[in-house]
Amino acid sequence: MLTILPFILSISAHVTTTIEKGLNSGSIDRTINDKETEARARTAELVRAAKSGSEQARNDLAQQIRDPAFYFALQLLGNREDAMDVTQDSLMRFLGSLDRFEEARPVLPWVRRIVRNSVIDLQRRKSVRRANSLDSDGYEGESLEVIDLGSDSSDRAVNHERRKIVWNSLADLPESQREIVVLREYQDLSYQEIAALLEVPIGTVMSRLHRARIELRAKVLNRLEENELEGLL
Amino acid sequence: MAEHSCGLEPSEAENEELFSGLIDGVLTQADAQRMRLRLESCQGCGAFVEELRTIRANAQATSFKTPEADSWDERPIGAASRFLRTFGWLLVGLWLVINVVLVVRMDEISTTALRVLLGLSFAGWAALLLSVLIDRLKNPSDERYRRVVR
Ligand SMILES: [Zn+2]
Repeated sequence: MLTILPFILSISAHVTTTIEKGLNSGSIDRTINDKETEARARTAELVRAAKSGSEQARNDLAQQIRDPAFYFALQLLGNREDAMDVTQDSLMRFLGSLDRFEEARPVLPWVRRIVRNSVIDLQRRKSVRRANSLDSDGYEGESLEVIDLGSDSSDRAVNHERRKIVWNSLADLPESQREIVVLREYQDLSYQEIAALLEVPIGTVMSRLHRARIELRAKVLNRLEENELEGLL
Repeated sequence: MAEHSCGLEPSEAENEELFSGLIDGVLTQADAQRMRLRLESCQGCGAFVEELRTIRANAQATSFKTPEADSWDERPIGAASRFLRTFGWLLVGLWLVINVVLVVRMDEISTTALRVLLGLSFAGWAALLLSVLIDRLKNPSDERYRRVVR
């Protein structure tokens, strides 16, 4: 009997920690949700204040939106200068359209729509220089900041190289394929969100995405081959 | 490259939803199960999905450098302002060239040509001024904006 006791104790300890883990992860989820709700409420408050004419609220809103708008524009255009222009225009359009916006709605989808329209306008105005080479501005080593997943530096270099190749291959895609890849892979939008933004059915999103992914894979493999990095993917 | 033993290329139309659906985790249980079996039995399909997943993971892990806060402040806002700014700088450049030319070959230039060139250079400065003015009007509280950034 005494020999089984440690065994039983360890099992009960295990069960307790498992239950605790479960509870904790639940509370972590709740904290994240709370934070999201809080952030959304704060933004809604800002929109309300901005609509009623607070200059400070307008500035704070613009401040909050600028980075996400810039990243999205950069991903769509692949060109840093143009992305900055589009961001500036989008912020102005955004502030100019505040009156038509309900504060309860999330702001980002609306910003994305404005940025996308600005990008389309820009592309109409001029054929945008596209980043096709590794040394074009915006994504060269020092501009592309990579979140470090690997612990040692060779891992880091490999990860960086891979991300750079994927990013550069994006420039080889036609506009509409590039867009869908950006929306799904870089912006991480759901099919529903993409369908709403592009105003197309979900089926279209899926097939367009699939074709774009096949194309991107081919471009990535091409670039890997060119750089003699075949095993990298 | 891994061969397909399943007899179906991933680029075939009827597979569209299955491959992307699998990667994005939106398949029904039955479809997901079907795909799992397929990936297990066909090396080509397995490798294909793995590659698409790697590409997605790399895209998601990519982060971009934000422009310096200062670099936003002096940028022209809107197409009109940008056009005036570029146009203005061009004419200002021209103005500098004219000055050099004037100094070097004073005697050979007629007064009408001189007037036209001088007029253009003034237009250049005016365009620049107008561009800055437009930005100021559009973004009156530049100072506060800047303070928040830092
Ligand atoms: Zn196969």
